[in-house]
Amino acid sequence: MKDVLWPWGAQMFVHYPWVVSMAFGAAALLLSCLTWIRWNKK
Amino acid sequence: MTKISLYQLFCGILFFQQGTTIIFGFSSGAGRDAWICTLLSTAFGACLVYLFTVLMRLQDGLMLTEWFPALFGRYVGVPIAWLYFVLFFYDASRIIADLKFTINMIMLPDTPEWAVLAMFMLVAVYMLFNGIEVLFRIAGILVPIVTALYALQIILLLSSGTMHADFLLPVAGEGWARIWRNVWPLSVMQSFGETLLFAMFWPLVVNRRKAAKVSVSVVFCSGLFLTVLNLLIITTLGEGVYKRSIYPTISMLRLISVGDFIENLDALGLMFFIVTTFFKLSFYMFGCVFAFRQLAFVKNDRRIIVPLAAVSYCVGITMSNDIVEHIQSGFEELQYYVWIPLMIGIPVLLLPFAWKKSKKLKEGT
Repeated sequence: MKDVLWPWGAQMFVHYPWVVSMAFGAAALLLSCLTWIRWNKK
Repeated sequence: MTKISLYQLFCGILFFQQGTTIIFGFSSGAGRDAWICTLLSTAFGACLVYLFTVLMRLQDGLMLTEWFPALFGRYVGVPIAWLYFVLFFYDASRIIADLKFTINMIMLPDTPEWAVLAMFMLVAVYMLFNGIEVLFRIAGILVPIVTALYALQIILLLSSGTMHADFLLPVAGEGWARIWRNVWPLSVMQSFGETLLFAMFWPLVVNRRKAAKVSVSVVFCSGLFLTVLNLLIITTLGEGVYKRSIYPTISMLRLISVGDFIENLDALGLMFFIVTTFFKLSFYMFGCVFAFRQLAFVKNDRRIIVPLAAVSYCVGITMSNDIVEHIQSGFEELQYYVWIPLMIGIPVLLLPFAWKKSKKLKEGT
């Protein structure tokens, strides 16, 4: 498992590409919270 | 106020599209038919860039990350916009990883990679502090110089007698299937699809109507550059070496020998690589900074430059163990799972919404 997770990008991409694309989406959602919080503050 | 001229835009996109492609070889999987592959990819790439410019004209004056909140509202549009920030950030880190392997394998084998990359990143950060206008201006100055060196490289190759036109034969000898397999999706996405990043900078161009024409025409120019480069590499190295080599351009330049005096010109190739990579990385970082500023309501760019560059550096340096897995993840998985959905899927889906909104606005006025 360690070999797959580290180095995190490449091996993960090769073995579980859909997980990486989901991670892209999750990162975008997390960052969106920043916008929503700041939007409501304005 | 930042203003970019059409010539500077042309030069900026040209450097961006050459990027790391110039050294890794474009469509090398197609072997001796890579030049046909490049021509076909250029045609499809021009259509793709045209689609981006149509979207830009429909959403006049807005950056890529502003398109989505403007069309879909804050709860749907904002996460989509952040997806592009993540994409640009990941692509910037991939460039750092490209550089990490190239520098160590070709130029400085004993120098710690973190030191070389840190120096490179420092220059990129300096450029980020100077602003996007300076980067485009430098591109405008450097394009004629790089083109002259490119012409010199062709002259030296021709005079060293290492080229064999028969290496190109038979044309499409292994059928068109191999060519198409390399055209779509890799070659179309690799340089031309990535041009979507410039949707972050198009609103800064002086004449936006002409910016669309310039952006499409630069695809043809870039395609011509890459086709000539492919022809040079194939006629010099032959199909076998071209397909197997990770850095075919460097292998080709090492064969230049004029009168046993002008030799070992791989430094010339590395210079191209460093220049175009620097521009590609800087454009991606600018894309990230602009997207973050706009989506997180940051008033001052300067506060986010250093943190973003530092994280990108760490991601890039820890991304892969070796060049083989780095290329495998990029060329085999990234394009299907990330590039195609974000660079073709979402823009195509966006088109009817943008068109409808623009029609409504016109009717309203």
